[in-house]
Amino acid sequence: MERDVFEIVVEKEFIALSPEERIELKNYCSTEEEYNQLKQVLVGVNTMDWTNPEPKVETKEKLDVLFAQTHPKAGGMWYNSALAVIAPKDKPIYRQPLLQIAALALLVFLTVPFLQQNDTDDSSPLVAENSIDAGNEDVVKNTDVSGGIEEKKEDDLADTKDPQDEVSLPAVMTGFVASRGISNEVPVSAAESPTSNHPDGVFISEESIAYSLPASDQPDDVMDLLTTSF
Amino acid sequence: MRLIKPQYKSMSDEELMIAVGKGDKRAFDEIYARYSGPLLGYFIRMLWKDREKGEDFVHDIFAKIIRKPELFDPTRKFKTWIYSVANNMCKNEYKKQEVRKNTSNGLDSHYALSDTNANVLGEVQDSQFRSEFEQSLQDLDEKHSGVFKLRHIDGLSIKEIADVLKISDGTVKSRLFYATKYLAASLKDFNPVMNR
Repeated sequence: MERDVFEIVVEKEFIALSPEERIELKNYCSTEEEYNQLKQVLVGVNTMDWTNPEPKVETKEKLDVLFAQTHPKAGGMWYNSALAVIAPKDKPIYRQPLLQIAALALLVFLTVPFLQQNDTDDSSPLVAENSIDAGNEDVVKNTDVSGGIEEKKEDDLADTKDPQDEVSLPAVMTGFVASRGISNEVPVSAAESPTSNHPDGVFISEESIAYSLPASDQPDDVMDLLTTSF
Repeated sequence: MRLIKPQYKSMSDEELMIAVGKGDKRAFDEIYARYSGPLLGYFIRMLWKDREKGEDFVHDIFAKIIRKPELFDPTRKFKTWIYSVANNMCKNEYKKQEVRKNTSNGLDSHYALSDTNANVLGEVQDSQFRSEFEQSLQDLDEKHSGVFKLRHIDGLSIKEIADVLKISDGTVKSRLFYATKYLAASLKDFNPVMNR
C-alpha cells in the first residue's frame, strides 16, 4: 500500500527526505522549521490515546427490538426449523422427540449386546446337553453291547436246552391233551402268520407290507392261537 | 442450503451488510460491534463533545441500516459509506443548530454543553497538550477539522476521506495540511515530541 505524505512526515527527518518527497511537500511546507512543526503536531496526535467510548446497552437493546420488528422471521435456517420440531422449547424435556429418540437409541444400544450374550449363553448349554446325549448314547451302546452279549448267552443256553422243554406242559395238562388227542404241533397258519419287529406294530413280509389288524378282522388267526393255547 | 454456520468474525463488512439485508441478526450484531464504538467517538467529536447526542446519532444510523439496508451499495466500501452517512448527519445537525442560534433569544445554545464538555474533557485529557489540541481543533472550521479528524483520529486514508466527502484526493491533502499548520501554530508552545 502506498504511503501518504503524512506518514512520511511522521517517519522521516527533513534531511532524510528524498528529492521526490521534497517536491511533493514543497506546496505545503517550504522550510525545515515548518516541516518540524507539522511533524510535532502529527506525532503528538498519533501518540495520543483515541480509544472510542462504548455505546450504552440501552442503545443496542432498542436496536434489537427494532430489528425484531423489521425482520420478524429472520434467521429461519432449515436446521433451526428442524430443531423446532425435534426439540420444541414449549414442551417439557421428557416429551421432546429428540430426547425420546436418543433414549430409544440408547436402549437399543445397551440391549443388543445383552441379547447376543444370551444367545451365546443358550448355545453353550446346548453343547453341554449334546455332549451329555453323546455320552448317553455311548452308554446305551455299551448297554446294547452288553445286552447283546446277554442275549447271545441266553441264545446259547436256549440251544443247550431240550426242544421238548419249550412246549413242556404240566403233567395234568399233558394228560388232558393226550386224552383228547390234540397234537402238540403248532398249526401252519399260526406259524406262517407274519411277525413284526417294528415298534409301531407294522408287519413286514417279503411280498407285501402287512399292517396289524384288530382281532375281529382275523377271527381264524385268533382261533388258531386259542387252539394252540388250549 | 447452508450446513455450517457462517463465521461472522471473518466476514467482510460488505458481506455482513448483504446478510443484514436478508434479515440475519448475527450479521447485524457483528456490524454493530465493529462500528458502534468508532461511530460514537466520531459523533462525540463532531457534535461538541455531546455524548447523549452521540448515542442518539449512533442509534439513528444503525436504525437506518436495519430499516433500509438496500441503501448500501455493495460495490462500495462499507466503511466509507457509513462515515459519509455519519458526516451528512453531522452536517444536518450543524444546519439545525444554525437555525436555533438565529431564532434563540441571545443565549448560547451550547452553553449547557460547554459545562459538560469541560467535565468530559477533564476526564479524558491526560495532558495539557491534549486539551490545547482539542481546543484548537474545535476552533478550526468544520471543513478542515472534519478532514483532520477522519484522517488522524478515525484512521481513514486520504482516498477514503475523498470518497466519504466526495472531494478529490488533492483537496483532502490541501485541507489536511491547512489544518495541521493551524494546529502547529496554535500549539507552538508545546513540544510533545521532546516531552515523550
